Amino acid sequence: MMPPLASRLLGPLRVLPFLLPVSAALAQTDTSALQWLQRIYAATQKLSYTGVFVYQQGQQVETSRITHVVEASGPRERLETLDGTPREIIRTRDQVVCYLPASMTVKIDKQSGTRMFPAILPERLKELSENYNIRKGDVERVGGYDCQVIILEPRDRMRYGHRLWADLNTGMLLKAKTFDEKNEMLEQFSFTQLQIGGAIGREQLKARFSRASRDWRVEDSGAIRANLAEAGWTIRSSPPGFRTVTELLRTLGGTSGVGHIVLSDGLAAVSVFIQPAKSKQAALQPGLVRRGAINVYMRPVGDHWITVVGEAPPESVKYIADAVEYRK
Amino acid sequence: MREKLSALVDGELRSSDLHTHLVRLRTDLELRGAWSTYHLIGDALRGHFGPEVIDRVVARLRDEPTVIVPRSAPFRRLSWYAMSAAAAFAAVVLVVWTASPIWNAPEIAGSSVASGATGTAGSVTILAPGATSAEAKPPVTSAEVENYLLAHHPFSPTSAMQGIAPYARTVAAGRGTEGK
Repeated sequence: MMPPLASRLLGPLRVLPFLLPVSAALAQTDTSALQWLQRIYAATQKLSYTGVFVYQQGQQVETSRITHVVEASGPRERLETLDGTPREIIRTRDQVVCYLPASMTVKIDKQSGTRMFPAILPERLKELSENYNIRKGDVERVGGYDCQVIILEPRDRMRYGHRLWADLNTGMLLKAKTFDEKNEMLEQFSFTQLQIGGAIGREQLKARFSRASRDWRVEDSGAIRANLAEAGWTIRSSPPGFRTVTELLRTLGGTSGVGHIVLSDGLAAVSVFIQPAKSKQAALQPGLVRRGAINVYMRPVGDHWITVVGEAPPESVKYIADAVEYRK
Repeated sequence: MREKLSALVDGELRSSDLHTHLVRLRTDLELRGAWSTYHLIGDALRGHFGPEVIDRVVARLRDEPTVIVPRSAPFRRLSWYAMSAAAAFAAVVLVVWTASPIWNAPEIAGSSVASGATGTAGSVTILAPGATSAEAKPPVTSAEVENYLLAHHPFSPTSAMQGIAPYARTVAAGRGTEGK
């Protein structure tokens, strides 16, 4: 009788050793490093730039050209792949259009009414430092620019580590690496050539495929805010530091009525998609797909499939998927 | 009243009642709604649908909020012992994955998963409980991952810092399915 009781009484104490280093580390967070994160965020909103950019994940490398121009109507961005089959993504304030010439498809995601990436950083900086140990590193050169290195070390295994390189003069983010718990690189974004400011021709923002795509298949999607808890869907508990940011009802890959819940720890985000199971999915088993820093975990709940997608470790993604429940 | 209305629709109302009901029909909004509904039902039964009605029904269906609830409540009263045993098993499986060298070396694992559906070798690792990684059925296709990422990225704070750059992930994801 004694041992279980004792362990039950001492149970809460076992948490202490984990808490102590966290609070000690909290004091270490460098406020100037936090200010750098704010600078990066502000730079992304206000700078115009164009450059060549490399995305690397495992052995896969994708080179793209990125142009970002801030106009009176808001920012307009264009990403065009330079390797392999051409692909193009145009993003404006309220929509993202993807041109996929190989499959002759245009995917349009309308964001009206659901402000994209909630301006999380400034007001969530404190929260961010509870989840990451944030400090400044050295000054290193990237794409010809002297950059300040900012290091974000995760305080637990529920999130990945990050290393950011921001231009000393403008605050623009030139390079970002994501690391797993063993400090092995999962993916990297990096500009190899970049022009910040100066004259950027309007034609560099033009969709190359807008004319050709007139008779392509169009896949429309969009989202509206929704109360999924009212419909009976809840997340029983989230991994430490993560909280629900938004709840939506959306169209996804031609399927409407898909529930979408976004959780975030201030830097990483995880999306939960709730959709009715298709008959062909009956044979599927719950499982995980890894792709660089992105993990996807699927499992059935009743006759629905829960798909959790995010730039978070498998543990977090699975934790969230397992916590999704339907209650009425 | 509704019965009378139904009779009126079917032309079975005596002429003495007819006038009274036509007057009520003109003034009573609720009754007028019922009147057109009955006609609509009649038309539907007889298969007399104009294209404008079909268009309107389709439009309404599109706008109607979709109720996303499971038709059957998930395992409400299943034995808790069975459930916790299954959970314990799942936990063991997860621990085994995490501890296995396959898990920790995505590149090697990716190429060992001979998954035709996902194409790009080396970028995807699929692990499912109760199945060895070699025979596991991929829970999602590359095209689906691409769609999930497109929906996910606008809401990620990293997008707020990196602009359009994270969309390079969707490009990488999409490579799996497109014609080379």
